Amino acid sequence: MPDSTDSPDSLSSPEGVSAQKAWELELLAEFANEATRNRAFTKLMERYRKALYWHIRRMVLDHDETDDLLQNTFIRCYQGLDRFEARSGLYTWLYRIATNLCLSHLSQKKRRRMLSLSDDAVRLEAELKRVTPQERMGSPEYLLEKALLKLPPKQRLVFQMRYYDELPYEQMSEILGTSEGALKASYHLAFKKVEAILRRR
Amino acid sequence: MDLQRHPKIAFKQDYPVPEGYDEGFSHRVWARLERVDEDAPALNPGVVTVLLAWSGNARAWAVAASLALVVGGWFLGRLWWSGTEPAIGANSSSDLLANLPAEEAHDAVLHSANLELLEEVVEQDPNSQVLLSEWAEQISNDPVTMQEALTALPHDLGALVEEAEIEI
Repeated sequence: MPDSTDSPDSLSSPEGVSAQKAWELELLAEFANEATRNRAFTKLMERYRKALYWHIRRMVLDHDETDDLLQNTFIRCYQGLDRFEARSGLYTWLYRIATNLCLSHLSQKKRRRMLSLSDDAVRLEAELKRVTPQERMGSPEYLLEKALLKLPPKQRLVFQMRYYDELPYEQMSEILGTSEGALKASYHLAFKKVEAILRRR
Repeated sequence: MDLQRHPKIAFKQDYPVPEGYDEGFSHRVWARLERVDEDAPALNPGVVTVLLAWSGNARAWAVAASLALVVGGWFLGRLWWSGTEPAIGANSSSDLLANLPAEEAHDAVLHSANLELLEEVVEQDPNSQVLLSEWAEQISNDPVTMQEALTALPHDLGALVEEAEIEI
């Protein structure tokens, strides 16, 4: 799968946001029309699938689980799109559905296996080792990904959205339903923890 | 490795993905959507309620009401979970803060940020003295005294902080 062209980064610039908004409004109008509904929804999937795939994959690591969660994201979206009032961006809303599904999947998995946070990190580390290409083992990218697995899922998510995707706190707050102040504090704490883990190596 | 000084590290999207995965994706979602439609309840719970109520049987009433409650709850739950649009309306925190004097707004942000952070931290690891200390260290730099913070905390969290015997 090639790199995503619709990464959240492109939504950070004002031009990106307004072009995105126009495209989404047009799509919503198409979706509201019974005759063009299916075509509109297929277009929506094509546009956001890759960005959402990697957003989920980064969290759960396994491809099959990612595929399942991604399909569920679009199914929930289809079922709720009629009620969508465009107060937030469509992509932000999709991102939010995917994030909720991801967090709930991870916590269910941890509960089902009765794992503590550190046991869960061990399980995820093994998974990361399995999916990382051999030539990237020991690289800074791999070490950072590995260190992130020691964070609780929501904090990891905050770190990933801020550090990798450089999402503005305002948008993160819309997606995660947490105040900007709390997100800043959470990111600060996550950064400090990751730094400490990387330094200990 | 010093993350602060290290050049920005990008996330590599290079985990293995099965060949041809992209191509069939939307078809698979459409197929599942069709199945979801087929799995939808054949009988409208409202109709069932009316039909059972028509019979005039008290037990049937109870069954019908329970059924309506369960199915209604399920629908409401799904409605909420399927991604309630984030509220950016007149009652959002940022709007409320905008109406406060600058100093109060600043305090409110610090306060809410720290409390939410603490709740999250404690939820994740109730025994972690280290994290509690980190939080305490953070609020020691804020214009919020320990006593004020403890008063504002939910009772169980306040007790936990007191137990931790953190001095600020």
